Amino acid sequence: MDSNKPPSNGNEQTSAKRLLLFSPREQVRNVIAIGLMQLKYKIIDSANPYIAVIKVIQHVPDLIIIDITETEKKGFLIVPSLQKSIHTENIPILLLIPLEPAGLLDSIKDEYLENNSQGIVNNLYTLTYPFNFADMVNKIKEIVR
Amino acid sequence: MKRWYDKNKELAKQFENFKNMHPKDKYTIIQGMLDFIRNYNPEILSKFIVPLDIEKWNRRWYDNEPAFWLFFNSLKFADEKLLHEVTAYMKKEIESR
Repeated sequence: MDSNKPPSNGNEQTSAKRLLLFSPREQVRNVIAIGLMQLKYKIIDSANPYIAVIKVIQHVPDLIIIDITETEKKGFLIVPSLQKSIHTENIPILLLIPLEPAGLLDSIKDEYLENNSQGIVNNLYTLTYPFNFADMVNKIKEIVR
Repeated sequence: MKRWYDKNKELAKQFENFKNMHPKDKYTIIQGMLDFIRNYNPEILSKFIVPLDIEKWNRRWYDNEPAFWLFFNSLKFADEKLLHEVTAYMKKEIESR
């Protein structure tokens, strides 16, 4: 590579997948967004679950990424909200959740899903903290290819 | 405390020059530097760990600026050739401001 030439960005943008990234944590949003943007994904982000749902309806992303922690779990509300619309029910969702405490996801489902809707959560994938960003990218590629 | 790039004096000098630039100039050239890494080997930009307590990162001057953070952390995985080319690119960009 000639170090005197500015690098080319290419034209990969035309087929870029759109990802909605929800996290109430600014550092998580920033680091994941900047990493994915370098790989030419289009990122729509939100720190508020209600606004995230509106953005999903407006932009119909290829994947929704939701950051969940033991103390910040309201983002899971996005899941049942989208399951109720035929326009959004098939959009895959990747949950970023901590490894501990065990059973966190089940307890969140119990809290936020109506009893009779437990079985209709489609296209729900998980990745547990801490994770290698490359593993996250590979998972995204598998889900939205 | 020794930093991973201290053994490369010219690179350390360019990092220091970059650190001391005006923010408007930093923002202008950081994407060019990230593009440089991606064009060389895009996998380098994905070689970082996202911990649950990521918000506790604030020890270094670039920890709260994600593009800077990605640039500095990615270069930890760069080979000598890329480090040499990035150093030359930074020197040229910084000196032109």
